[in-house]
Amino acid sequence: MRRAVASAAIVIAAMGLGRLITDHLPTTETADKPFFHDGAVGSPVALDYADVTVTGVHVTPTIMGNPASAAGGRWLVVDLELKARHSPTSMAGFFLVDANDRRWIASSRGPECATAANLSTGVRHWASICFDVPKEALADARLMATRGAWDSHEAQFRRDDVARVDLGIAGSEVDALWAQKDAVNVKEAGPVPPEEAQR
Amino acid sequence: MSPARRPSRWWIAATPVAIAAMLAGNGFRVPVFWYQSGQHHEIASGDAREWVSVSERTSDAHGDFSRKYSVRLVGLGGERTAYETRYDDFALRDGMVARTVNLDFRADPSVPLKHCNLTLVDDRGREYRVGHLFDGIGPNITVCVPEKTPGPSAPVLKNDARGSLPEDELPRPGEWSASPEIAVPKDATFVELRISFENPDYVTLRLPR
Repeated sequence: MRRAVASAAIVIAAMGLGRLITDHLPTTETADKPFFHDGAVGSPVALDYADVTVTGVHVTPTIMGNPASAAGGRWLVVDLELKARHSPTSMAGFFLVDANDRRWIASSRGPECATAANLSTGVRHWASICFDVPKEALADARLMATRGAWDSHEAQFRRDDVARVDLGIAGSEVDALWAQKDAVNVKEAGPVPPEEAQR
Repeated sequence: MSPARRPSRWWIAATPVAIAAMLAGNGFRVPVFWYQSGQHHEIASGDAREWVSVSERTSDAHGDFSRKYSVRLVGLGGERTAYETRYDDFALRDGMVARTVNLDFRADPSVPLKHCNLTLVDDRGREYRVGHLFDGIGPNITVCVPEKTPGPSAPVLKNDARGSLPEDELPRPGEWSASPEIAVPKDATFVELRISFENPDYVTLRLPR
């Protein structure tokens, strides 16, 4: 009888210890966290599978096209240059994180706005990612670029390399950027540089 | 006086069973997230300039069948900088060129051989591919077959018959050559070509060192 009581106590203690570990140790951080590589506009971020460079950032109420696309707030257009390093790579995770740690997913509403990129090894690929955002999302916005698409658990890119690029928008610049009226012409994504692209 | 109770030993037998059950329960991740998501099963191999016979187990709307064909890698050629996207031509840059992969094929005209993809692997392990659904540049669909007479598609609906062609299309010849181009660095040294129709199966054709 005493043995049975002791065994039950050990089992309950082991379960309690397990619960303490899962509740109080940062197991999620270590098991699920992606590997962030920070960068700034104009400098390449070297990921395990691709080089990611933000080449331009635009804020506009309108993306040119037929028909033109009006933003609900403003379009934040991020021009990218991507290159797969060792093998063909598909990148489907392009999202924005604002100063309040809110996520904004890429919009496919603007003509030629990309939401994913299929990269051939060694061939540079140009793409513009468009986010329809409110004014408060502009300051300190960072672009995240990775292989797995964003989902609410952020599970598609866990333990994977993620480029985190500061788009360089200071809080003091937001009013001027928000007031801009010039439309932006987004060029077709692909292996042709935007300045040479026909569409 | 009753005899002393022996300590329980059942857990010694139960522990390996529990470990095996845990591995089996989680084991589905290996085929789903690794084995089937890349080229991990070499179904045939050979050297350049020799015929390699391939029989690949696959399935269509009517069930399982074997995709049978023979292939010979004649060699690599060409180094144009003009290449193609899905819609246009464009100029390769950064020291990349379009290398021609010269292949000879033999197969029964009823065998579906559209949608193959070719991967050139260099001596540093880098992979350059054409023809895959996720390749944004280069030809697709007819990478391994004649453009005008590509032969049948694998039926996706039960109503489609195996080996059927569009009315105005001639059957594929029994033997033909294909010369698709792959964008590669001009100075790369290649060790093998892989032909694949679907993961994880592939055929390796080794290039002379």
